[in-house]
Amino acid sequence: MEKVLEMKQIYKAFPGVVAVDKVDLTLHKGEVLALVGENGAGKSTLIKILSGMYKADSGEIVIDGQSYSGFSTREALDLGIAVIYQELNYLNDMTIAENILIGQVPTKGPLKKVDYAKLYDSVKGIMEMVGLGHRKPTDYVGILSVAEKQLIEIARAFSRNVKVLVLDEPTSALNETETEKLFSLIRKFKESGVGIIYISHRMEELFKIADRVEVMRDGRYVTDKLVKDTTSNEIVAAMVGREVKNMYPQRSCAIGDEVFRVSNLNTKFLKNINFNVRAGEVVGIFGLMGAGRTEVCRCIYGIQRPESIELTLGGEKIVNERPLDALSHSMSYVPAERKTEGVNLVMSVKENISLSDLRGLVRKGRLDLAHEKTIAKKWVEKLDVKTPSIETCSNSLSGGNQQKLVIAKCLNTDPKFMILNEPTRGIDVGAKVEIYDLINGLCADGRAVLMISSELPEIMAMSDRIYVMCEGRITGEVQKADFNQESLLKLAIGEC
Amino acid sequence: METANKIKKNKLLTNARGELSSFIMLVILWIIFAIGSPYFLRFRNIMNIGSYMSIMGTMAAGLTVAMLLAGLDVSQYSLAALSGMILGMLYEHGVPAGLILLIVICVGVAGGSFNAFIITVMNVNPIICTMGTSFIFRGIAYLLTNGRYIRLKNDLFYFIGNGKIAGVPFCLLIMVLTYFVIWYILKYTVYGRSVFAVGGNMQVAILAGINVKKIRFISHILAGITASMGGIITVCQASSCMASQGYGNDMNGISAVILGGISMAGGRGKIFGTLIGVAILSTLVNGMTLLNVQSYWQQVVQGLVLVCAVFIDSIRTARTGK
Repeated sequence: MEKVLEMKQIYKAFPGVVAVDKVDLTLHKGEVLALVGENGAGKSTLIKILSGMYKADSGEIVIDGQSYSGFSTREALDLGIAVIYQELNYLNDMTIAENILIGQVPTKGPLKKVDYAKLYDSVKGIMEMVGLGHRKPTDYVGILSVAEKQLIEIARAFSRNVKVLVLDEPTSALNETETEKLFSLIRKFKESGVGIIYISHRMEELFKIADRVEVMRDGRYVTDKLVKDTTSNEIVAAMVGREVKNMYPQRSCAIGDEVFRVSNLNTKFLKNINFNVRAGEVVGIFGLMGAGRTEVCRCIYGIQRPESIELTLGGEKIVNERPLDALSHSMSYVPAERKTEGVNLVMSVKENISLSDLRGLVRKGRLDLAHEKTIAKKWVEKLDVKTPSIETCSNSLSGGNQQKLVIAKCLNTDPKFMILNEPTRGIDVGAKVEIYDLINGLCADGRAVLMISSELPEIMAMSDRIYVMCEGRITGEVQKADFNQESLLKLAIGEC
Repeated sequence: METANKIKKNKLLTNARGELSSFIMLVILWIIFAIGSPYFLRFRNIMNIGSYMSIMGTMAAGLTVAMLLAGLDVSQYSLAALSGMILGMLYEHGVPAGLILLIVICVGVAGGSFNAFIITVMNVNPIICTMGTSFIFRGIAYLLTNGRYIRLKNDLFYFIGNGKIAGVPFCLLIMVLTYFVIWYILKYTVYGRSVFAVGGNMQVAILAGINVKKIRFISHILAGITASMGGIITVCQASSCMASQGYGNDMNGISAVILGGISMAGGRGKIFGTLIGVAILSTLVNGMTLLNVQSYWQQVVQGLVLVCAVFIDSIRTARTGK
């Protein structure tokens, strides 16, 4: 097979970390190459180098036999490289046609007026091809579903005569039928000789769609195998670099009285949410993206104002109008978005840990900075945060250690009830296990824990009970003995 | 080895304190002017710089807090003019000097609160808001006396503007005291820590139970108070009150703060950085005057310095991703 793309010895370092360390990648015409690795393995950086967003410090990119040391995003497009990112790029207030032909809108006359007739006409064929035939070119993108918006990006790639198509986690927001449609589209690209790089965490998908799989770990190339010659266990082992045993540590602690209860929670989207959490218990909330899990947390914690809500904590009615109220009622919240809601990336480790309890630091009318250091040292040691010092800027810590900082910040307020929203998202396996241990430790202290997660194995292993949500409602409460992937998923897609 | 060096170099750029590069710039300026003019390093000239910088310096101290919150205040010089005019009017009406000072500080609180209300409660962009209020404050200052200027003849006022303690201008001491107070607030109070928290990441701060609106509100009051202090020093130095005072200087404070390494994006910087920024701008004016640089050229140079400062800030911000 003819090579369409070759990346040789690509090297890229950022302050404090080598993101991509001499990685090779080869892509043939009409081939689907799956690029896999844990978060932080360097896949995204590699792709950004390919798309021209980053420039490699060293290395070579060969496209159609032509060698480049780097190029701009514009040049990448001209070379026929199209990248469809996890976060979709489209302009809601423009039409489908304008979105597809963005940057190459047809013009007429000496003043280069936009030739709308030609614009709308020329995209029809492409829209038909990618499965947007039922829409008009003049429809605004804002009204489309997520899957359709993704099709626009693919149509955009088509319109540019693409040679290399990169799909970064394209199915993370799609349901099964939409995924199937996407796959048949990918096969169409394949037939026309396009090389495709497919990034996904979903192992089943790789075996469905990919011809070859390349594994990266810690910024390095690990292996590359034909899909038909390998197994998913082998791929996982290569990704992790070790066999993962005891991923979910056992917990054995008595469940006590009810600590927290929410009833009659209603918003525009949420309908009649009721549940409780007992001392020493981990209650899970499972649901697909957009089920309303985070909104529940935000209402409970006082970030968002619901239409109605009743909260009790330790048998007493409480009102949380703002996060400060929740904190003063011994509640604390570990948000899902670590970088935007969890850590303050310009503050040091020490300052992050003390942030939620600044008033507790006041001695004789001023902040006791010596005491702050003592506290920070205590938590860094207790949670085993890997940091050169407590004065280090949190920016330079790894994702897992940043997450530990967020948890330390919450624990420092000595909460009775803790909400953990996706506590292990985007951190590596080793750190995950440490977080699970920490959660077990919280239960052993008699705290009540509410844990939101979209990873089924994780939530099943960690929870004592699971509430399943679908489209703003609780569709079921499942006891530990009855946990079962299929039935939970069915509840989550509302099929019961 | 090569990579290690590269990483180290990048680290220096991201973590290098803004104050450090500003300080080096200041030292270089001093060396240039010291070589260029024999008068530059004389004690008297240095104290001249000191009394010149006390106005801009005092005002920039309060502004720093607002800018640490990613806010801004371009109305300070107008509020200073208004404060100065009110001082003059009260003086004409025979109000005791001590009471006048108190009232004028209250004018600063009121002006700052007015900005703060528009910015935090009505949710107007700080630049737009303070651009508007700068016209309002300046306009009222003219209206108060219909553009007439007022002469001051009062020992206390004279001392504030021109008095010296052990050869050091009193107004410079006021400025130093202001910096000490702001430094203390930023380092040792819950409010100060909250300023950095909100400036660094507002979402995180909200979840940590910090009342973001209150923090921002107070910062604009601080900018207002220091503006009226600047106004007091200005009229006391000139022994006269004019509504046009400080006109055209509106950006000086902001230049100084940015030069001092406070990030426009908020959350990062040190109050002493601002002091260095103020010193740089004042040194430039003084040195260029000593070297007989035409005042129009001085403006060009000051503008260039500001653009460079913002450029450096944008590099620094891009590198840290914040």
